[in-house]
Amino acid sequence: MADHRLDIGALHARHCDGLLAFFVRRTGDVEVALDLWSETFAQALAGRERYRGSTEEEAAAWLYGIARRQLAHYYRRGSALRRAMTRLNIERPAINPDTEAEILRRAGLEDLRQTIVAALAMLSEDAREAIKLRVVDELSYPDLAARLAITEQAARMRVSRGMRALGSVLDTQTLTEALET
Amino acid sequence: MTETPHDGYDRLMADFRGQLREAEKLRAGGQPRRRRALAAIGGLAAASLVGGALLLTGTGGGGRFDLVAQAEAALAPAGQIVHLVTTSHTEMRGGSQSGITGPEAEANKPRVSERWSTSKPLRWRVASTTPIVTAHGTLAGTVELSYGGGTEELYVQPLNTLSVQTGVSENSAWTRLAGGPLGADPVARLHAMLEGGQLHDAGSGTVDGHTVLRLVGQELSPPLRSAHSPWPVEYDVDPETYAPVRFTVEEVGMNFPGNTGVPTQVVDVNIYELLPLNERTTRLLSIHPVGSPTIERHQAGSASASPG
Repeated sequence: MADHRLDIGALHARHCDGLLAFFVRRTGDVEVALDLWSETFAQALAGRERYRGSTEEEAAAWLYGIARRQLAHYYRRGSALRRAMTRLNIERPAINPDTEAEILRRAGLEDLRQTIVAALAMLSEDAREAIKLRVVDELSYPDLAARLAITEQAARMRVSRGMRALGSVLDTQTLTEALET
Repeated sequence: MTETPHDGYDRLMADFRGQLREAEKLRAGGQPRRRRALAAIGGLAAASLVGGALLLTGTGGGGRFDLVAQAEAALAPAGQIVHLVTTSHTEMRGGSQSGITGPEAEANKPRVSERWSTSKPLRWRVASTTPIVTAHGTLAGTVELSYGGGTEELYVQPLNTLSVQTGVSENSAWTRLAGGPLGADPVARLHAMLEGGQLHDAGSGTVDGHTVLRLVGQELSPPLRSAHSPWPVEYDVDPETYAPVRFTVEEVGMNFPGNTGVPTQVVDVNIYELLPLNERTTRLLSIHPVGSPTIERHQAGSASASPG
């Protein structure tokens, strides 16, 4: 029966760490990464009847395909989808500062920040400032919006587009696939 | 005992996995569908009630919940506007020729429509290049229909007239401004049919060589007043995004003089996109006539009209 082809709990156990790091390194933002991560697993559960693979490698490829679509949407819109989570009544985990720091450490974002700083020169002035304030200086979006005298939504859009522009230093392959999705 | 960052991280992962397991049980448990849905509703947020209601009416396979719910979500995402551009035409299925001939041919030429809609509360606007057939010939131009906050508006650009009707409920709005077999805004009607469990999973099919997922059902309360048979509806969506691709409605019992077969409206979706709902885009949901149109105002349930 198709329902038993994919054990969602086992899939989560195998890929929860790697997928969260994947999103953190490509968004520079733990909150956004957790949104994308949660929705990806929720969509995997909601759509598992359509999964046709049989190996762990195929399951991973399928899961990351969903992940890249979430990422592409975030790059385009500056926000994460929550459709499957809402439908399945799944809540995104709340985090405290210690857990956030642990997620950043595991994702290796501290190391990546140096790369991001070096690559900021390729961005427009607006995007450069937004990325620096959010990813390097770690301002909250409300603070960032206040600093730049723009709305919070505009701030989110500016960061997401800047991160997309930085895609080449983050993961060229992922960016390419995400934008093609 | 103090929780370390490592513990907090592990707990986050375990808690979320628990949520997935719980959601999995609700979806795949051994209870009959009706009981399972009721059990799920007990603990669900309001947003999930739609999914529960869909299960209550379900008769299809295991994928039905996903397909119907995903298709429904694609037509009414929270806090966003669905923007569609469609091309529709009417063909005579099973007739001696597929196209309409004779006096009805002019009014049934392919037409392009652009739609903007949002839900909760329901608001929509449709702009269409509908030919207006008058005693003086056929007028070309745009006709716009809109609904929001209990008010319907109809703007006929070639005649420069705006009709405003107030006191209209969401449920009746689609029938009052009948612009086709699914009413003035087929998107809103399809969404209502999905929400009401009137469309069910019929597997997959192809449209222009591309695989689609197919939902089928029947329009039991068509906008035309005369009694006739239910109209079969076929709704095709993209298998990855659940975006609308095509929908067809067979208007069984209807006919055009000089034509044989069943008139079938085929609507192809050329553009589907989601727009953020904000001050700027909200304007897309209402009509903004050019110049000073002649305005007629009506109250729902009242036969009289008053010039504006």
